Order: sequence, then structure tokens, then C-alpha cells
Amino acid sequence: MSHPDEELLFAHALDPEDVPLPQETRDHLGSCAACRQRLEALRAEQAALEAALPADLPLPPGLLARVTAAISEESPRARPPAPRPVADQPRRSHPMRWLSVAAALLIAAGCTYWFTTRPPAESGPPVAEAPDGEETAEEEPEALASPGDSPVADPAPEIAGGPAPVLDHRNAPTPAEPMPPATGAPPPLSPALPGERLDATVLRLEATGREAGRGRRAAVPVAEVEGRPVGTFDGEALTGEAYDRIEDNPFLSPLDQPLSTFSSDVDRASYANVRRFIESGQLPPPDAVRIEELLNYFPYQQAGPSPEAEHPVAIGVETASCPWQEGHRLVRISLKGKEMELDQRPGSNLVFLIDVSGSMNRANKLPLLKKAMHLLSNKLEERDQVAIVVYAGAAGLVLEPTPGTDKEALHAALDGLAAGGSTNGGQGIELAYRVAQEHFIEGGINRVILCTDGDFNVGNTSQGGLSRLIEEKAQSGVFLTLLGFGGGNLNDALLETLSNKGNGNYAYIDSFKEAAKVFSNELLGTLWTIAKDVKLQVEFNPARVGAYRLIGYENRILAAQDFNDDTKDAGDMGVGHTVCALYQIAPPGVELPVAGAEVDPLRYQARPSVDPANPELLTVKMRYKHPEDSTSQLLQVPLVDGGAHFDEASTDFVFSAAVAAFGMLLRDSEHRGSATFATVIELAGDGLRFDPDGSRAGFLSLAHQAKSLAEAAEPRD
Amino acid sequence: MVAVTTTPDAQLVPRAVSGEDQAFTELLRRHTPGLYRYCAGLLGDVNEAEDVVQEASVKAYRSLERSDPRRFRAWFFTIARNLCYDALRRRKTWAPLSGGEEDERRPPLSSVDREALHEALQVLSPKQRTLVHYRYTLGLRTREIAEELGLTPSNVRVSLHRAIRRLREVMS
Repeated sequence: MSHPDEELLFAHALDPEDVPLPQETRDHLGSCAACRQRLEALRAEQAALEAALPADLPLPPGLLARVTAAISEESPRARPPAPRPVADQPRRSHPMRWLSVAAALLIAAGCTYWFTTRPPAESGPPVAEAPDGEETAEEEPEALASPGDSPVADPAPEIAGGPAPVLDHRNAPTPAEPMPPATGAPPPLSPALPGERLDATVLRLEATGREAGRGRRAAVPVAEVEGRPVGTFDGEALTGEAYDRIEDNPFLSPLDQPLSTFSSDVDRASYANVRRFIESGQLPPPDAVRIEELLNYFPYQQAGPSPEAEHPVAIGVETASCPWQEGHRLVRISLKGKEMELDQRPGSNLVFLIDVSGSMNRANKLPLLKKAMHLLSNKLEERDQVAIVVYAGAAGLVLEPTPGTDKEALHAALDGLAAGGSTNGGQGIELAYRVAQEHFIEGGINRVILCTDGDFNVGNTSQGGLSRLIEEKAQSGVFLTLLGFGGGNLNDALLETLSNKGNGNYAYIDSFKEAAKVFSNELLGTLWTIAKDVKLQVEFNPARVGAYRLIGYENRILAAQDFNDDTKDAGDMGVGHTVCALYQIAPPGVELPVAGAEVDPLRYQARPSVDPANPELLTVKMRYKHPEDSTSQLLQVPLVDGGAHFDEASTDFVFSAAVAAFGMLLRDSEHRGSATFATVIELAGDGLRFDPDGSRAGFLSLAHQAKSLAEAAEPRD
Repeated sequence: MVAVTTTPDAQLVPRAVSGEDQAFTELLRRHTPGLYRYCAGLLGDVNEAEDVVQEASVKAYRSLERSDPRRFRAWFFTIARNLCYDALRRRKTWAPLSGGEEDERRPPLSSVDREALHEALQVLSPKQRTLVHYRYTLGLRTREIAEELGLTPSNVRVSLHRAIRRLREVMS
């Protein structure tokens, strides 16, 4: 017979199941090598096309939020409650608002994909057409993309010396990442692409960034560093991000360890980072998930102390049944800092230490930071002063401490910033601290604010030396705030360690919205510390508690004796800050593998006697210092378990349980019990009864996405 | 306790029409990632794609009443596709359609360079490009593509074949 026509072979290569080859064609293929080769080539072509088109192009971070925002601007819920008759009259749009949102969108659109290689020739991109006079910009009038914002090629990432990294197999590519073409050849990336790192295997071995002072971590050998190639096409991917290993806190017996002690932590960076991963279509690496930072991201209903209250922080304790473990109890402890009027805030002495190394040259990094700084400048007052230190190849002061009212000088300095060069953070940080100290405001907010994507090279300073420097400066009253930008080589581990040393905060800026939140509200407001060295210690009653486990706060555990030791540093709380912690409790008599139980019973000591009559489950103790003081205050709250069922728990309780379960699932924790993403979704939906800023709805949506991602990943196991 | 489970689009659309913004947000959450990839592919420009996604979402919101709840996705994509075509038309840089003189025996592509492919795609007609992106960028099955575009599956296969023959020509 004659050769089958190409149309048929192509259709078969495309859809083998839907277009089976007729018998005569199969017979022919059996005897015709040329046609067999042709069919094979057609199949390979399908694979090559699939591999070459970016099926994994992730949604840019924040796009969904911006779209939602544009829609809520569109109509402040004017839609009638009942379906309307067919609307011939489209809803009146608000072009002005629309433009401002589109403008905001442009700032954040910092992606250099291969798409942008389209030659600019008379293509007249309609994107920049927003006419000037039209922005009623609530957000940022200068948002339109300017040539200066266009990304340039990054310097090739350097490969640090040291032993070869071992990739954790849990971090194997998720299905969202492209599979290599069937030929086994590397993906056909063109070396000419601007702004794209091409070496998928480069890991930034910032292993020395693991702070040796933290006993538990010091034991982690370099080979376990979990830098990983993250993502594939988020425009800056194919580099390594570094996360410190987190081991879940174990269950402990109150007979062995009646006290559980930890430092407060108000950071929330991990949530924004987890959100970035999930929104770009992949589950985060387990070590990027710090449950306490997830819990503390959300606003809670609990009221803080009144402005006149003696103590600036209030403690809340609640217990109910545990939704993921039959028979267990869940205890929620929350601290809430008092709210203050912003006009009462003290003056600020802010020194921005800005990373202007090459990797910052993306629209979602330096240009975003510049826009955010402009926002901040609008809030500055006479009593505030701002200085800017940059670091790249060398560190330099680009803006002397300048009064907050001299906005022109600030803007000029900002406009002059440009990225380029390598990083020497060590010199920069020393200079920044020196400037901050020389212009110290007594009783004010004195802060160095380090803005980086984590490409933090300490130069001649050793990592330990840097930590010591930061710790020492914190004693002198200059605190440190770290703002992580972008992704791709985010050194989360180092940033978190440094912020913990410097009485600091660490926030991750993944979008203009987050930047606006941090720069226009938090840098001046909530950074106003109302209580420092806030420590918590919980004593468990062995008569009521068989075993307990603190969920999250793994990096914040303190030795029991540190609680009363006022020289031991701990986290700070600012105006309105919330700290939320959950304990899972197994009642006495429940069999559980308890850490430390493998030790033989002691021969020379009796177990301490337990008072079976005391009804208390536990006592929460908190110590804090007023910002100016060096001696701590103690607050104590005992808890008697009233046996509440989970259904009777407060909205705060239910929602934080959802967040904790979500964290445990993402961490693939052995303690997740019966929790599934469906549980998380159900609980979070219930927690939506209180959602002042929409962040809980955002969480619900994130949980839905994580559920789909987890389901998509399952068949691979 | 309010149980939230995965609700089909067909139920979300009427809820969104009746004023439940949460339902519309959920629809967006489901469909914008694919829509964005599709538009980025069609336009060859991520910034424009973001704009189109946003504009399409606003348009969809405004005229949701007119959509068929069972075919929300196809309807939503159509809005975006039309916006993409408008943008492409403004750009007027695409090459004329192939004269149909393709060499039947030109060999299938063995390896595909991303950048070269991207350039070659500019040569295809918008419809051909749509097919290529539906198939390879979004990974839709032929049947799904046919349903969304109102074609028959064999029609899709024939058109796709033509598009790829054109790509072979341009790329070899």
C-alpha cells in the first residue's frame, strides 16, 4: 500500500487515543522504516513543542490581588442581591481608578521572560498609554514603567566554594516545573535572554550564614544546606534559595519538662514567601514554612490593653478540642500589644541600608523599593530623619541624615539609586549603624532598615562577627529591620537569623501592596516598640497533661532558666502587634512517643509528687521590659480547662487552628494527625466571620490552591 | 460550621451574579493562571498579558449576567482572546498568512529553541497561535480545545497541523 499521509500520522502523534491508526497503516508501519521514523519524529516534535512553551509560567505575584482590587474598585458592591435582567447597560466603569490600579500593576510587573524579547520596533505597547493627567493615584502616581525600570542582565551568580551541596529529595521538582524534553537534552534556553539566570544547579552556599550560636543548628552539616533551585520561570528563578532546616517540636512530658519557654516573634515573612510559592504554582519547601509567622500574619479579634493600662501587652488563653487529633486538646495563647494613636509616636531615625547589587535590578526589587520609599516620605514629619546607605561593590552614604520634611533631597537621592555591582554587605552594615548612632534620637525609633534580596555578602566580616555586631548595636538601642525583596536567591535563613539577633523584624515584600503596607504603615507605626524582650513560659500540670507540643516557634525556643534572666534577649512587640501560639495537649494516659522517654528511670530520685486536686491545666507566664527599662515585668494567667468543644471555640481560635494545620501540612509534619487541606478550608471558612483586611479570605484562597497543588502532586508518590 | 468544598463553576457563576463577590473571586482564582499563560503566549509579552487579564476580569465581572454558567471558562477566555487580538491589531506587526505552499515533506521539528519558537509564532495567524497555545502552553486536550472554540476535534487537528507545518517552514 501507499505511505499514510502526514495528516493522519500527525493526528495520531497528537492524540494517540482519540485517533488510533487503522490496521492497514499499522501493517504498513511494520514494514516501512521511513514511515516509522516519520511517526517517531512527529512524536518527538510534540514533546519538543511542549517543552519549549512555558506551561509553567506562573501568575505574577500579586496579579490576582490587583485584579480583585480593580474589581472592588469597579463597583463597591452595587450588584443587586437578585439576578438582574439581561444587562444591556454595562455597569458604569471608573476609568480613573482603573488606571491607577493598572499603573500599580505595572510597577510590580517586574518579569523578564523570554516574551519580552519581542523587538520594540513600532510595537507601541498599549500598556504604557495611561495619559498623564489621569491618575487619581491612591497608590502611586509614578507607577508607569520608565526605561530605568527595565531589567538588565544579572551578573552570573557566583558559585561559592565548599563541599558540593546535596539537594534534599523532598525538594524534587514539582509537577509545575517543566520536564526536560524527551530527548534528554537540557531545556533549550537561549543564552541571549536578558535577566535570566541560566544555571539551574547553582546553589548559594551561605552555609556559614547558619548562626553557630544557636546550638541546635550548629550541628547541621554543610551538606544538608537546603538551597534549592526554585521555580523555573518566575523571571528570576533557576537560582538557589536558602532555608534553614526546621525540625518540628516534639511532644514532651510535663513530668520530664514541666516548662516550655520561648521568645515572642511578630515576624510574618514566611507567610508572604509561602504565598509567593503557592501562587506561582508550587508548594513551598517545608523549611520555608515557619508556622508562627503564618499565625502572626493575620489580625485577630482579641482586644489589646487600653492606652492607659499598666501593662502594654495583654495575654489571652483559650482551650478547646483539637480538630485533627481525637481526644487531644488545643490551647491557644495570644499576646496583644496596645494600640496607640500614630500622632503620639516618637521621632524616627531611620537609616536605610539598600542593596544595589545587580540582582536587585528587577522591577519587583529596587524600583519597587524606590516607589515604596516615596510613599514613606509622604508620612515623614519634622521630627523624623532618614539617611540612605547603599552597598554593592563598596558601601557609601548617598543621603546624609535628612529631616523628614526635606522631601526633595530624599527624592533626589532615591532617583539617583541604580543597581549594579556585587555585594559587600559587611561594610554597608557597619556604615549604616555608625550613621544611625551618630544621629541617635533619645526615646525615638532608631532603626537600620536593610533592604535586600538576600544576596548578602559580608565581605571581610565573618558571619559570626556580623551577628555580634548586630546584637551589640541592638543593646545600644539601634534595632534592625530586614526587608526581603523578590525571589530566586532569597537567603531566608540568613535574613531571619540576623533579624533575630538585632531585636528586629523581618518582612518579605512580594508585591506593591505588601510594600505599601510596610512602608506607609509599619515602618513608622508598628515599629514603635512598646515592649521588648517578650518571653513566654508555660508550666504544665502533669495531673492534667500527659504530653504537650508547641506548634511552630522552633527557632524561638529558650532554655527554661533564660525566662527569668533579664540579660537574655528575646523578641519585641510593637503597637498593635499580635503573637499567637498553639499547644497541642494529650491528656494523661494517652500513649504517645514522647521525646526523652527513652531515658531509663532515675534510681536515686523520686518523681516529684503531683497534686491531683489542682484543676489547672497550665499557667502562662510572660515577661517583658518597657522599651527603656532593663528589668522585666511578669504577668501570669492560669488556665482551667472547661472542656469546650472545638465548635464552641472563638473565631480567633478556629482560624488559628486552620493556619496551624495548613502549616503542618505544608511542612509534611508527622504531627498533622487527621488534618487535610479540606479541613483547613473548612476551618478557615469558619474563621472568615472576622476578616477586617481581607487577609483571611486570601488565606482561604491560598488553601484552595495548595489543595489543588497537593492533589496534582499525589500520583507521583 | 460552614463547610467550604470545591464548587463547580456552574454554581459559582449564579452566586457571583447574585452579588456574592467571594464566588467571583473564586472563579478568578481558578482561571486567571491559565488565562495569563494563554495571553502571555498569544501576545508574547507578559506585561501586556497582565493588562489583558485584568481588563478581561473587569469585563467579565461587568457582564457576568450574560455568560452561560456552564461555559464560564470558555466565555472568559473569549473575552481575553478578543482583547489580545485587539492588542495585536494595534501592533500590526504580524506577518502575512502563509500562502499555503508548504512543503509536505519538511521534517518535523526535532528540537525547539524557545526564542526561535517565540519569533516563529509571530508569523502564525492569531487563530493558529491560539491553537498552539491552547495545546502546548495550557496543555489542553484536542476535545477541550474544540469545545472552547466551537470547532470539531478533527478541525482542530487539521488546523494545528497546518500551524505546525508553518512553524517548521519558518524555523528550519
